[in-house]
Amino acid sequence: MNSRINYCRLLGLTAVVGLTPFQPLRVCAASDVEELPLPAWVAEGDTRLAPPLGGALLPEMLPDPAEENANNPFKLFIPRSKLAAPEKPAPVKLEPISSELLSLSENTEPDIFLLDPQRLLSETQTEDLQRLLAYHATGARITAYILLLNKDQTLPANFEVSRLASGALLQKTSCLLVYPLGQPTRARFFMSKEIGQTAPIGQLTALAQDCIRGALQVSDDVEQLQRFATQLSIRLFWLERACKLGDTEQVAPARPSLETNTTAELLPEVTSEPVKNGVWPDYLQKWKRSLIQVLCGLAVFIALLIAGLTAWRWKKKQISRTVWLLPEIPDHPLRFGGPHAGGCGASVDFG
Amino acid sequence: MRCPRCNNDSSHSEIQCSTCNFELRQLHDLFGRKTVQLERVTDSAHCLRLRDGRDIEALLEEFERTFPQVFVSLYIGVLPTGLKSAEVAFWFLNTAALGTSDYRRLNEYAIVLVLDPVTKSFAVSVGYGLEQALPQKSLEKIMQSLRTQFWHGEHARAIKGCISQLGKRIRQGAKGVKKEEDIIPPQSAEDFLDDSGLGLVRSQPRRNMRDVEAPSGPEAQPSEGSTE
Repeated sequence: MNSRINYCRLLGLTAVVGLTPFQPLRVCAASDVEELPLPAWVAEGDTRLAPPLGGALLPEMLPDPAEENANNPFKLFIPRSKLAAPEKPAPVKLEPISSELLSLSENTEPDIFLLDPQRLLSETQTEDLQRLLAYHATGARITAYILLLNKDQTLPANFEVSRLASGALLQKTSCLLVYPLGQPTRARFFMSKEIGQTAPIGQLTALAQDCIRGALQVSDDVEQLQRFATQLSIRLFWLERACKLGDTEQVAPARPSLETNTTAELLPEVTSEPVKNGVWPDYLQKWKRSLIQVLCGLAVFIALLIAGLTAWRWKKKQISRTVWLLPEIPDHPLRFGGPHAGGCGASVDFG
Repeated sequence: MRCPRCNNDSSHSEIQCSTCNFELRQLHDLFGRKTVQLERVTDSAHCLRLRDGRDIEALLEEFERTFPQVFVSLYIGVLPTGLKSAEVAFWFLNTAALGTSDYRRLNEYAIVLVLDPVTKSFAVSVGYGLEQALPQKSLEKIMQSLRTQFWHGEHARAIKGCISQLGKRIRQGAKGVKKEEDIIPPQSAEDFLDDSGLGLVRSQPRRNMRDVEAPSGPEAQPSEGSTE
């Protein structure tokens, strides 16, 4: 039954489609032309058709944005205030953080890696971040410190960052991140001199790019900070391996740059992995010295083995080419009446 | 020295054992004074497999080549009741003609090994010439090291080990001389035939062969085994 109905529908559709090409012909027939009125032309002209820009009619033909929004059903649920073009935020006036607050950060213990003198984060968030940075410090040579600022704050111009954390930044290889909460693009990095001399500028730029990119994936301020810190920890590990920090054998060319401003020095290139130096893969770098020692020991052992085998073969060959002669028989008394042997011997019972 | 019968210590100049009065004459009374022939390997008890026997014989041949004065004989057999293997070894050394093609070797440089599989005893006895190179203590140490292998029934392995250790001990007390390896080729066909070890069956083919190879040579003498 259904198939019969479908067949009828198909026939009807075919008839409509088949008639459609002929309809203009029927419209254009001579009898119909006489019946249709011609359009009346207005002398002053329609202002809508006036060429606005160099004779181009296209902008005037475009639908009105308001009408388009009305026709779009999805936009009916969005308030008009939101549909309006976003206004540019007013420029925030940055103020330097007060020296009293900074002095609080200067007196903190060296093992406090999160410097939050204004208590911008809650206790739980502070502990989480502090735990992350402490864990990083246990395994990395580059210790990470974070100084937290408010959105509209900045560091004073002549502030000496080495005084922070009781001078711990100068005592070890470290990286200080000055982070305005909610504005990761304004974050600033301060690296130790050792890093500044060994790390290439592209590496540092990629580090900053990755950290900012990771933070901008979320909108929450605290979560941005956490993502920023996580990326920073990862990238510092990469930087440490790439620059072979702590390896005194490698001497990199000196480079005067010490400070990296993320907003000023962002470069378009993005490196996802650290640059590999030398022929050793990353997973063998840790065991490089032990591996060399084992290989040397093995080579010495093989050399000794070959020398021993050669000496043994030479000695065996010499023995095979040698006959052994005994001294003449000394004068001896006959024992037990034996003319040739006197009972020198031994026996064993194995029953 | 130890008495082969009672195994007690005796002085170097005793004609008889001070404990049991043992001397060679007692063995002569038992076995007679006839000289017996003893080959390199005599296995009258059939303890050795054919392959082991050949291996031991090859080892003894190599041993004699390394020590040109020394030769070793191995006797494996069931001994008469009341006789010890050390006594029989002593008797062999003093009365047997040991099986060697080189008659320049003296029994003073001989080593006799005697194994009795029934009484489960193994003895070694050396002549006067080897007493300095193979003292009593060395021989006892060698015997002690072989006990386990004999107890497990590994007779061939034990005997090979014994010969190897005897060789090492003798090498320590002997003087090494480089072996002469110059082999002089035979000067004539006769020399070749004499040294080749080939025995001729008939005299006629031999004469013909000589005529062909050495026509100017002397005529061949008919061999003892010839049929003509």
